[in-house]
Amino acid sequence: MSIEERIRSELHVAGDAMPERTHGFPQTLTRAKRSLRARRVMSIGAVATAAVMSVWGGSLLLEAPVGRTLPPSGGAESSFTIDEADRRVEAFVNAIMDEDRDGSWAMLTSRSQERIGGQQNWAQTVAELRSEIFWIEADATRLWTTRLPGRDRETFLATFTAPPQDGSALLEVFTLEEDSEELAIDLKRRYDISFTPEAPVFMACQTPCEPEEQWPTIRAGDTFSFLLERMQETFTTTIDDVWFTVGDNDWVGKARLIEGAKEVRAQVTFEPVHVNPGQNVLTITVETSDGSLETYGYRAIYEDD
Amino acid sequence: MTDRDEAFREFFEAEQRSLQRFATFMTSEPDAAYDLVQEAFVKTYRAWTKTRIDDPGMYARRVIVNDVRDRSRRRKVRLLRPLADITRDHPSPAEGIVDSIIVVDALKRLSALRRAVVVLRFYEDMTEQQIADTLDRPLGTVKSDLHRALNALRPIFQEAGTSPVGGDA
Repeated sequence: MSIEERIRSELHVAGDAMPERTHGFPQTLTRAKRSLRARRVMSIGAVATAAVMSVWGGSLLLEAPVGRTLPPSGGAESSFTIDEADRRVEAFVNAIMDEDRDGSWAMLTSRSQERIGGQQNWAQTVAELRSEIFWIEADATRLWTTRLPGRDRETFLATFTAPPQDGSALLEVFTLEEDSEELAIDLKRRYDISFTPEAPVFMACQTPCEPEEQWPTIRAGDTFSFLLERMQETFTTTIDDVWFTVGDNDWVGKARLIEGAKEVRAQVTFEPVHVNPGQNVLTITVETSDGSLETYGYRAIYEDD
Repeated sequence: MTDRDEAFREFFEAEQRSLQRFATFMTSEPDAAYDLVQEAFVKTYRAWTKTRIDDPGMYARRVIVNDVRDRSRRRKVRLLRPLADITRDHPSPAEGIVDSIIVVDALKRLSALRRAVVVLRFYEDMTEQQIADTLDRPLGTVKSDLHRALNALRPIFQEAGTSPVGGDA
């Protein structure tokens, strides 16, 4: 008997002796369908990530409606920064609530954790909860939310634990709706967040920044007003929005414009921001309703620099 | 049930036992094989709805082999119980024979790909071309894998004192 014949013979004997343990078809089909749905969710999420990255390619952060490319309808993109886990996360979540109070968007509140252990469980949960589910995704970590009963339908509870180890995350808020056999994913909001161990303090001045002792100190959470002098000369149209960026793409605050007859003032609330070495230029960008952009530079430093 | 699901059911019923055995040979661990087979069905179903699969059986086997390789890379697969132990847990008329089977242990000494080549060739009776198609590997590579696998298995049989007569790689 050749070795091939011997192997063939032994394999068949072993195969015949194997215990029968097979799956039921309904169980397999159900799991397959759930997996298919979950896969769609992930694919759509990947598309959305690509979209937002293109937005972040420039030095200016825009509120781009990346969600509009997603079925069935999209939401607006926004961004903010936070400084550390848990308590700080709650702080920024509340900040979102404040920011969006007039925008009829969700209120987020940090509370207990409910983390799904594995993808299989996750897929199963997605399928079971269907239209009830909201979830928030921070990079590879899926953070779960629960809709609060008896509250506004866009009010839900976000649950967070420690931030990602690399110090930054793309945070996405999804809803899931099921229509017959197809699931539609609605990317509601997208946030880019960063985590730093301590809240920095800005010393800011409009460039050129002299004399230094006259620089206003801007602390995280502070509100201050400044005069955008050039705006009176440069812009004749309505000022729509103001962004504050540090480095390439950190959005550190958003202005509420106070328009006067002869001057334009912007009242700014700063969020804590992570500033990398060499990225200490605070940039204020103003967009007008005709799409024009104007940028102002400030120096930003940490208090302990 | 949709036509697609009905077709999937036919595939499931036709293949699940052979896939279970194939996966058991690949892992030497029936519980792991059980999970692998269901994962293979799930992935096959997913691909089924996306694009037409010419041969879902081949596709499912490729999924199993790839999963075994992935798990090996991650060192997550532990051979907790050798196949011989499992078969003793589930007595069958062939039990006495199974205990003396050398190839079951011998397979574990091969890489996942060569193990797959051996099982597909000698248990599933695939041609080398079919194996190449199933594993999505060049025919020459499959021939080489088979040759090297037989060379690796031969001394194991010799060691056990059951060297095949006229053995030839």
